[in-house]
Amino acid sequence: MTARATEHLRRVGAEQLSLEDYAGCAPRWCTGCGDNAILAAVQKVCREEQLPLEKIVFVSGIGCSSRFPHYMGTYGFHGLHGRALPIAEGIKMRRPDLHVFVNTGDGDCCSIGAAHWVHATRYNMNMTVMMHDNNIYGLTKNQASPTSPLGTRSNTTPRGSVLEPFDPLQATLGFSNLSFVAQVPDWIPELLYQVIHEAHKHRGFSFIRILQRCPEFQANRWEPCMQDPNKVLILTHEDGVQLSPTLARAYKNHQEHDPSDIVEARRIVGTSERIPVGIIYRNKDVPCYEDMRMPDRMYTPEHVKNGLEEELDKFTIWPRD
Amino acid sequence: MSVTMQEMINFHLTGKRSEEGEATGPGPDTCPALLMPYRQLSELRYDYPLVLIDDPASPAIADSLTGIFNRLLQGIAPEGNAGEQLRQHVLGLEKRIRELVADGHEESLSTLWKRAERSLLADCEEVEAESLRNNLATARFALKSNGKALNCDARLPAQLLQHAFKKVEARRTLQSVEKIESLIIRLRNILKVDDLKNSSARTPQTLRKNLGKRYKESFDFDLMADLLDDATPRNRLPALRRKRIKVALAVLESQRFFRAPNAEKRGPDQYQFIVDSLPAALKAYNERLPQIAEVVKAIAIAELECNNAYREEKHSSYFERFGPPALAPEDLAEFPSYLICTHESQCNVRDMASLTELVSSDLPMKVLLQVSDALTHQFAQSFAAPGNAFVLQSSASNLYRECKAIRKGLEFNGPAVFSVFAPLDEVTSDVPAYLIAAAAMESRVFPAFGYDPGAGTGLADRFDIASNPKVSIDWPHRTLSYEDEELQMIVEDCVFTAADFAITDRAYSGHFAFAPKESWSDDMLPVGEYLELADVDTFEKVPYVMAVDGDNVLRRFVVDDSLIRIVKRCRERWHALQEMGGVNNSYASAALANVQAAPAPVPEVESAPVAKEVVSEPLDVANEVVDEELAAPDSDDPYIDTPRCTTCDECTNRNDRMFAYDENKQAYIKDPDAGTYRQLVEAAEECQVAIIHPGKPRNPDEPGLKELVERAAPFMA
Repeated sequence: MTARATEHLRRVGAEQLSLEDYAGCAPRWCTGCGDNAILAAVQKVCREEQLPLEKIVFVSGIGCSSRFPHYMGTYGFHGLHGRALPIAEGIKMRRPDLHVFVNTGDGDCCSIGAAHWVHATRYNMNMTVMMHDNNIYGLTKNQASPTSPLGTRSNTTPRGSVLEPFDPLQATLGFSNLSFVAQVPDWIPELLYQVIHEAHKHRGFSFIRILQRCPEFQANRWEPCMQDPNKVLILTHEDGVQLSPTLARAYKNHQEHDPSDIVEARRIVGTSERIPVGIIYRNKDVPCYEDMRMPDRMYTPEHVKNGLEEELDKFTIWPRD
Repeated sequence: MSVTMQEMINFHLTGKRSEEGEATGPGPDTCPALLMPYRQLSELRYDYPLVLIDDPASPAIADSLTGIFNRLLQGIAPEGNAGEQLRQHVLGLEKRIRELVADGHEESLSTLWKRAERSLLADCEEVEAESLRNNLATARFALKSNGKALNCDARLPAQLLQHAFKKVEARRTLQSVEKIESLIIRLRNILKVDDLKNSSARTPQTLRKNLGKRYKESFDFDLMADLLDDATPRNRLPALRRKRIKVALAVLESQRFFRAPNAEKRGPDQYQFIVDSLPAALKAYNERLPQIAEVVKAIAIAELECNNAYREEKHSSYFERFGPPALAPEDLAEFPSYLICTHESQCNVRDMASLTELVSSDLPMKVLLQVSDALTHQFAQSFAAPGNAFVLQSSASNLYRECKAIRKGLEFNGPAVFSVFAPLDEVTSDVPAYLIAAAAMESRVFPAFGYDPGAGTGLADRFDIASNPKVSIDWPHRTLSYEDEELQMIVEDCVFTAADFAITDRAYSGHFAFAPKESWSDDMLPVGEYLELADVDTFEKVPYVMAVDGDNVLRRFVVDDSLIRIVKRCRERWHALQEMGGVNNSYASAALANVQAAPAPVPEVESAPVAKEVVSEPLDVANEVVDEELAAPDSDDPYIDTPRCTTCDECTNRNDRMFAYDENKQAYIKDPDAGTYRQLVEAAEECQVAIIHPGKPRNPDEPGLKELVERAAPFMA
């Protein structure tokens, strides 16, 4: 039950929030860093949805990407390395009314935080998770990360890395209870905005791998893809992303992909020579953990006290008369 | 004893029995012949007694005792001989419970079970007692249902409707109850947080109390109070906001419309929403409207406050004016409905006028109009005429099968009328009330129908007469078998008419005259056959009905003409109902006749190419838009493909007067003259997505132009 007047009055009284309202302090990322593009896209999504500032929280771990909460004019939690997801889950559990966003990096998510990532996917709590994948540890000045390409020279791999890179998409498509997976590069703003927007609208754990430029330590990593649109395969669908005429002319490689088809999703991710971009998988029917554990009513301190008394009384040993 | 044909005709025409003759009317133990096999109801397993379902989690209203026992036995009794004894014992218990309910024991199923079990154990042989006790204990353990058991009598409709109403309303208003409970808690929390900022919350005494006894020796609460005094937050709630929250909280806490089933006792009792007269319901509704407005207003304020969305400058003036006229149907639909249980004998002309007015309104009133004289009182069809009220007409015997329709009517967002026939014990014969009620439907005296405005837009979707037996004919045909004086079985095809029904009602006994067997002749016709004759063929004929007396002897009773006229009226009303229900519909028949009479249409072969031409027209509009979007500005001027900008700060860091971000935080050239051509070219070279186009130099005197123009060339496309 919502009084009919409430929604009307809320709109009457609402102030139109602008992009500046969502901005926190000035970003200190390197000039040319892809994180700037992600920040702009996220702020646009917040503005589009007119999310109340006090109803948003950004949670991060450690890394360049994890400075994100500082640059949003909302609530934020800059956590420990790899621990963004459990913190976000705790917030969502206690305050399901909040819009929870998580910013994590390839090191933060795929290495030290990998176990949390597996189970956060399985718990499917309603939050938007952006993995800024620049293929390198940037904040600590150039160490190979799990997603660094084979042969990456870094401070920890001076002769070039020897392991095949970890594929976050193939991994996440194998997790249980999966509900939303997307991939998008930071250098196509239109798609970046669309994908983050769709992820936010999706009710469940929305995981986006964002291919992110690092001009300092992976300067040429994505250069071929940026220069040659044919290296990108855009997945379109009426229930996924849609291309504007301008983008459709620039990016000739696009194909229809039904995001509800998990088999096709795995095939595309596993076999495509081009970089698939768009919503790869979406299942709207996976239940959210916070809904399953939601108490049927709000409890007053009296309710809680009476419940505790009742439980403790079960173990009480009464003195013999 | 004999009655002449002339005396029978005289009675038929005048309705007066001969003073000299021995003709008599039906006695209280007379039963229509077709109902005779069912007279000992407690021996039969049928829909009644009903058990009202108490379980709030179940949407079902009631279950039949037979259904409960069937499911119980399916669950516990093995098939074949192994489960036979258990089945016999449990079915015996069911029969005993049925007898207890028929004797007037209106108790819960569990209480009846105990009572019946005691009775069975007292009656059974000692050798069987142990197995009987064990079997009943097994069944009792498996029994999941409980609730009050009701027999089919005059009290049933009100009891069933009231139970269903409470259940439906509890489920319907649950969301509102939870919403209000939640808002109360959240408003209290806002005030509580504000109270904690008060300096009185940081006195040594309060701190000591809050910390508990265990650690009280470990702390210096005076020192702690001093320290915390400096840390006391200064941002208290504004006085106006605090007052507004307290007022809204007080309204929500004291409202009398919603109450959670297990809520803490708080404030005054909940309002009564079940009343026995329509004027009382309307009076209560109108008197409570201002309070409804107050609650809606408090909810709106609370929701805004809890979401930090209350803006005094915009919202306060609205709430100052808010009152009953501002309530929308959506608001009112969230509040409880009213149930009025009344009897047609208690309704005067004014009440009926109010009821007619009600069905044209959208007030949340549910009316049970109980009828006991079905032959002369029928109103429900007229309630369906305005089109916006839910209407259900049914006999009490059919109520179990109409439970879903009852729930639908109670859930319907608008008025609903339930017209139910239930015979009164004092005016009927000794025939069980269930049989009389069933006879009312069978004889078309009180046919069942439903009208649901929410089921569709047309009468075909909304109007339903399918609950009646054999809806396409006047009366269902039944077989009557009996033994004659020579003990030979006689089988007759009979119909059960309104006259057969009337014999069960003592008020109509004067319309019947006993015809001794010696007087029977071919000029006596069953009422069904008599009604099929043309008027001129009825001269010298008398209609009769067959009934059985207390000695189980089949008798004929002549029916007088005034009752025959009532029977004909019932048949006409049934015809009208059939037509509304789509059976023998005169409009449909006429339309069908027209279609059959019309010549076959000639196929139009010429029209196809025209349609093809229209479809094949090219749609250039979209392409034009695309071309316009893609058209590049004049290449002499510098520009940026703004939609492709990735906000990397490269250009804005270079010269923030020349390059700037738009409202989407994407770069554009703010002032091409705010910097040099060199800055433009270098920005183009450094842009990772190559979207800066430097154009041609604007200052011909700038040094190194030749080299810069060459460097700019790759970005001029």
